[in-house]
Amino acid sequence: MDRIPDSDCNHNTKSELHRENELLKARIAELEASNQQILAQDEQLHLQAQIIDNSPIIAAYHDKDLNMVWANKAYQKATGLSLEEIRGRKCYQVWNLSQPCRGCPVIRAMETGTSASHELTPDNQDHWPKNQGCWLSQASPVRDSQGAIIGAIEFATETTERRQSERVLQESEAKFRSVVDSIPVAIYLSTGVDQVSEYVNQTMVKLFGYTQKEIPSVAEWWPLAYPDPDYRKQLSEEWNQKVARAIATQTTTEPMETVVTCKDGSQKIILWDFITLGDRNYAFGLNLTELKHSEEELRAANQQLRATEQQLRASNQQLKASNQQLRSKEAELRESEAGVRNKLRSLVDPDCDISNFELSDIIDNEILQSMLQGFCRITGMAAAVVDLSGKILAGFGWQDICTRFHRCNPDTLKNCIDSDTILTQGVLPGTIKCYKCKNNLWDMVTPLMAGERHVGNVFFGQFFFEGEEPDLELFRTQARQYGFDETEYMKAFARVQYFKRETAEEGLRFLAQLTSIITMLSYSAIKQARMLATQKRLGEELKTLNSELDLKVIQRTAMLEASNKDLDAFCYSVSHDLRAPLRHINGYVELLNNRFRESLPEKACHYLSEINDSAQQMGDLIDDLLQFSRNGRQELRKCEVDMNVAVQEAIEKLKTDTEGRIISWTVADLPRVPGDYSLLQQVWINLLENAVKYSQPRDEAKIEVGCTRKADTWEFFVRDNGVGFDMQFVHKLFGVFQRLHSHSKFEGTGIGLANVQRIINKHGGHVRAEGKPDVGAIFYFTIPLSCFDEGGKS
Amino acid sequence: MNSLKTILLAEDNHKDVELTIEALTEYNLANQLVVVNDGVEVLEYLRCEGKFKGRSNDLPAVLLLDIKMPRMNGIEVLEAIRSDDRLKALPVVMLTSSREEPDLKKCYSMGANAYVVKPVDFKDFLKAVKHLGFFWVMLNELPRLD
Repeated sequence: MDRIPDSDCNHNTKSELHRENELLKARIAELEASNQQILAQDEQLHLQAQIIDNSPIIAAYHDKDLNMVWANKAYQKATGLSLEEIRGRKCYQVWNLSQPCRGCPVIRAMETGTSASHELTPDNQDHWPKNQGCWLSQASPVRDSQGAIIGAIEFATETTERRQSERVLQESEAKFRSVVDSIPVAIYLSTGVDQVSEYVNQTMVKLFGYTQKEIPSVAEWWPLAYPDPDYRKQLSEEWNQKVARAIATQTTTEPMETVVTCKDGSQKIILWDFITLGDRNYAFGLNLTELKHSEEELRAANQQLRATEQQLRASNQQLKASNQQLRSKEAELRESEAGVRNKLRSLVDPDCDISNFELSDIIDNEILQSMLQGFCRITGMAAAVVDLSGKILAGFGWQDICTRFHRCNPDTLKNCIDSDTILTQGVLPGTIKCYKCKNNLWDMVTPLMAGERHVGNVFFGQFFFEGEEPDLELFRTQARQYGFDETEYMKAFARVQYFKRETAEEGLRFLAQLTSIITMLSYSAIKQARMLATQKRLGEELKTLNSELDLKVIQRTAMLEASNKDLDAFCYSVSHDLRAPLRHINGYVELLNNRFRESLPEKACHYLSEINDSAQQMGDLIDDLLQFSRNGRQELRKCEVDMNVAVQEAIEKLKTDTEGRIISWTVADLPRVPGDYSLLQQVWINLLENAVKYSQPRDEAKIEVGCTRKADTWEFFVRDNGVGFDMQFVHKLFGVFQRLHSHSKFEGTGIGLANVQRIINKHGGHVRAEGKPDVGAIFYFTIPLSCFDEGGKS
Repeated sequence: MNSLKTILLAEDNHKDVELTIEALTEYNLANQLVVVNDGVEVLEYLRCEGKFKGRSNDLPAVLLLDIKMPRMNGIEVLEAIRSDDRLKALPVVMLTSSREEPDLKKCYSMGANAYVVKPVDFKDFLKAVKHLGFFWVMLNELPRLD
């Protein structure tokens, strides 16, 4: 306070001082007020600092170099450090990190000059340890009075738990969705009465083919699902009513079955359910299509099954019926089988003895029965034909007293049978036995004869003789004794016939003779049938034998022809192929002989001559073989052959062989025969050549040619007085390559006679030979008189 | 007739060839002999084809044709010759190992001029060759070719 002077300004000074005092007072008040205000502000600031310091949200102030200036208690607690320990360090160091966080909001706030926020989680911060948790951090820049940024304040809250619960929620939602998507029920989640779609599960998409976008509401969904307007209208009325009620009452609807048309045009039967919870509606659709189909199939199959069952039952019944029929038929058959078999045997089997047959097997029961009927109508006599075993074959006119009474009671029936047995005993053929039966009626019997055989009996009975007074009392007693109705019995008794003894005997005799004739007729018919059968069978057997024989002949002939053909072919190829090398041997030997004879030693010349000889011999053999095979293959050229000419020409051809020999030829006049001239001449050449050859040792050879006429052939012969042969080897004479003399004695190939046989056989004739050692030989051959065709065949 | 014409022998067996040459030598006809070994060669010779290209165009006096030959047999050759206008007048003598009727008939029906069975006896063979040679080479006059 400044000092103010008093003298100068007495009056003035006093007022001035007063004024000044007033001013000062105002100023003090003003200051006090402002002090109050400051105090209040200070208190507010302190309060605010307290609030921040004690806030559960962590708060901090970073200077512009990111050094931490201040951190509240929550921050300290979160880091586990005091303010002194925090101050001056970098934020990330405080958190034990090697570098600032990615997307740090503090840095961004200072860089951009605006507030920034970021949630820092282990997921977006590589360098964070797992237990760091999640933090939502927000930072704002702090400016000085000039507006320059001098730092940033940061607030952060831990979000770890929220994150976790969010994740759990997400997971459970995913689970729920997957469940909802995978359950086989279509789900349509919608809101409000308009049922705007909120969610459509996968099952529904798959079932109908529409995605949620395609069916945003029921109004758009229905025209697709129910294209038929009438059907849709009907459905929608029902559905809307149900849904409205469900929404209003917050309950479920009753299920509704509809036929839904899918996107691909197919139709499915769906059972719909609807429930409203809060403002959400859930529509559930269960696909019944397959169920319905299988239901229908099941129903159809069931129906079929039932039909089949019915059919089966019917056919079972039929089967049973036919089975029964069959069984009864079988029984019938079995019954008649024995009879039929016997009858058949009696007719067909000639080896079975007729005497073993029963009468019923032989005679015709029907004829017998009708005969007896006729007889009975004429005479009134009851008659029967019974075989030896007691079997009734035919009968007619039985009395009621017998059929209705005696034969119906076991005791009287026994009487009947006993009586029949006694009656038939010891009755001689031609005689009649008369017998009162044990039931007191007369019976007569006479044997039935077939030839000499007793085959059965002829009965006549159940009568009284004329003049006889039947004992009425006896019959009454019988009626009582056996329990017959007496009145009826006596009425039947009254109907019994009366005959004279002579009439009865004559009738019986007549019947017996007639039956006997019928039996005889049947018997002879059987015999005749049998004879015919035998004859027929024998004829058939003969036929079979004949055809078998024919077949055998044909087969044999074919076999022979085949083997002959084979042999011919073989002979041809062998002899043909052998000729070439033989010709070469011959040629070279001849060349040796011609060109080098002088220079060859005598021995060599001898060898050459031997080789030449052998080659010559082989050539002959081959020529003969060729001739032989040619004869086999050659067809006969038929003509009439004058055998005289043939023989003369053959003798001419043998001239070289007969030169210097004394041969006396005896040639008879020979016939003309049908044949192949060149082949027959070959026969003569071969036979005469043989005769000339084997008579060589004789001083005078005698060769005779002749002929005799047989039944249907000419037999020619050539006889010589040569060396002959032993007859035990005669079978070898005509075989190919078979010789009876050594080559050194008589040259030959062993084919000549085989050739002869072959040619003669071709003409249908035969060859044979006779011989005796040192005496001579005769060769015979036959030519059929005219049968060229037959000859050609064999 | 001015000069001796050739004899064409078709024979695949070299022994038969040698013996034939020997036989012809006896009658001084061997120089006239040309030998071919199968049917194809026969036709090549006659038509101056193949290895006989450039040969003088003369036809042989006679063809001695063996029936059994490789590639083309005698009967096929004969058929070809008789259906060839230039060759159909050529005398052909068929040679064979045996007198087999079907062959013989076939050969004559196809226009063989002779059919000779190769005799086993070499003397006979000589005779046959001599006759063949003389007849066809010395005596037979072919119709002139235009």
